[in-house]
Amino acid sequence: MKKNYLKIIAVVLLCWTAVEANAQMNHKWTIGVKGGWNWTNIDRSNLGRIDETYSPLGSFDFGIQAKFAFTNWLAIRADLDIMSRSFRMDRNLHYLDPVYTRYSNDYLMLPLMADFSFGGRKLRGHAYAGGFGGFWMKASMQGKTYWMTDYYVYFDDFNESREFNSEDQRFIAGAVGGLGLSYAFFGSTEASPIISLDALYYYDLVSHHKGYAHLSDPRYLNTFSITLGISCSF
Amino acid sequence: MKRNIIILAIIALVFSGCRKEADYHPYIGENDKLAYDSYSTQFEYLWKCISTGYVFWDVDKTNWDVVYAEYMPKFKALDAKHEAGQNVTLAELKTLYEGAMGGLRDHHMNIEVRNLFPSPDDNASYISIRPGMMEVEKRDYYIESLGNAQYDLMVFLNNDIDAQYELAAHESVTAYVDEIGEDVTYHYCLFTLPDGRKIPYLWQSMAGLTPVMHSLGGTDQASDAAVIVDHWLTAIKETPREQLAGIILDNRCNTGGYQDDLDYLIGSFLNEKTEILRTRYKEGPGRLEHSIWTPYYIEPLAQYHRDITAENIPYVVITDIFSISMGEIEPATIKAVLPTSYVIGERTFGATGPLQPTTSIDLNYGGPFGNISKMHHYVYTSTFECSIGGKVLEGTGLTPDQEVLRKDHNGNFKAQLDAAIEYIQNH
Repeated sequence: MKKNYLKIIAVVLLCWTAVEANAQMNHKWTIGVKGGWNWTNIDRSNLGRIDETYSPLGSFDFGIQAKFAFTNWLAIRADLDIMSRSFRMDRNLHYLDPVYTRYSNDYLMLPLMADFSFGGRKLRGHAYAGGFGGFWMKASMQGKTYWMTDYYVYFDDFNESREFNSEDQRFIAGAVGGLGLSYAFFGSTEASPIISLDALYYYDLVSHHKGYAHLSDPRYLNTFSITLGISCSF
Repeated sequence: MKRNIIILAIIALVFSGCRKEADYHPYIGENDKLAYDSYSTQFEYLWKCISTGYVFWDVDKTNWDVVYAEYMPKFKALDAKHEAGQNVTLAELKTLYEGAMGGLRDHHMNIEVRNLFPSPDDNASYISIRPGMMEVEKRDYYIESLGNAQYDLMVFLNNDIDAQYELAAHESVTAYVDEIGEDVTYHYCLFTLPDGRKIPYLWQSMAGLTPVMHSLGGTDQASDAAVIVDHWLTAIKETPREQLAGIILDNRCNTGGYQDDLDYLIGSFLNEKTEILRTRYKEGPGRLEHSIWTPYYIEPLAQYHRDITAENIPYVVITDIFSISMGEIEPATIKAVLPTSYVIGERTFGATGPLQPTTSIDLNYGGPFGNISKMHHYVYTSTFECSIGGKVLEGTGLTPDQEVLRKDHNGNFKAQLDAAIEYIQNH
């Protein structure tokens, strides 16, 4: 608890120092960090599928954020996120229903958004809209699989990294948008520490599965992210 | 505020229509949903089922999209020929399907296609394409007139026993096994070396030990076969070390069968639970969408247990080009797991992917599919991909430790057995 207080004091002092050093500037830049949780589901065709069902999973989400305000209602915001986008597959076929896989996919995400803000001097609401680029850094799987002979069915637990292959599209892009709330301790027109709560929805427009020339099989992830941010305007 | 909402709504509308739709790709069990009425749609259906269900795309170098681009126009040309009132023959279909699919690596694969519009020139009701046989026939040690191994074995046993070893015992049977639905043949021999040491030898027509041994102690035909297998395993277990020179399992012309046979052939000689191979299956319609590699473990089998590793007893398996499926998985796993094992003979067929019948079609995206009577096609293909000792042997087969080719001995059956006995003698 004592360490957290010290950190907050350090952030305030840092911001105050920046203010003193840039006393002649309008307070347009905001830089900070954020962290939180997200839920991801996969959007893929049911065509030709057997009995698998896919369900969303929650995972971590953290990064840095930077904002430049053009006016008191319009800013541009860029984040750099490390985000795990996870989902689960379950088999539903009679004796194979113990089989499942949890897919964890770590992405480096760069959302770039217009920030439309409204509200008072300290407490403001935000509506975000923009796009993102991302890079699929790492994939791993955990679950239960099966093998069978003519007489027996065997199940086996696993937890391992997944190697990328030629079907994987590692560079992705999409649309991002959402809502947020921010509180500037000294007011939005002053240099100030700010806390913010954002809810963003990432909508992939590039399939992470490349498919083939005569058999397209696109798959997209949708991620809903809630993060708490601490930043400083100057 | 109102301005912001309008801007956001426009942006959302623009992006909502930007995702691509999937092409239709059939699941191999969707028999009742799919019908084709032309040569090109028949080819397209088979092409798509193989695209989504074939389990070897990670090791098969066939460019399946190039196959589509090259052969679809040719099948459309057949449609045009039919629509113009001309006959399309099975021979023409065979040429195209051999060209399109004959290079696939799955050596279990058998693609049966019926002529949608039979021609008076057709001399059969359907064609059969076997990519594995097409490849094997090109191997330089393939002998076109290779005799049936069992016949050759009988000739050998009756006429050709080497003076360097004697046949102390010989039992054989061909028995119908209800559980398998076909005959199996076993030959058990007890060879005696000049120094008096024994070599228990077993030849099996297929990998059917498990269903056969279910009949041990029974009264059906299969029980006669079980007795012979029991004699071989008991001879291995009970012959004193100083009298036991080694073991021979002869898998030449073994057409495969039951994975659980490894309980007898390997489990009898283990002291602890051991991983012997790994398998994986298609978990989705993507060509490289596999499950993880799942280990298959064998437990020690107490009934016939002997620690041949500790006693340094050589375990020789004889193979040839027609050691197929379990006929080659057995020597490959024996070699991977048992240190005193040794494989003599020829590089095996290369059909190592385990299969489940079409009744198990819902389990995953791979495996046999179709019905030649009802659907005008049937494709027999592997359900699982198999890795033994970290290697996928599909399409290449197991290379023996010591190569002895029948073609180098005028097709003679005895040379490979002589080599096996000589190895044991000198071990």
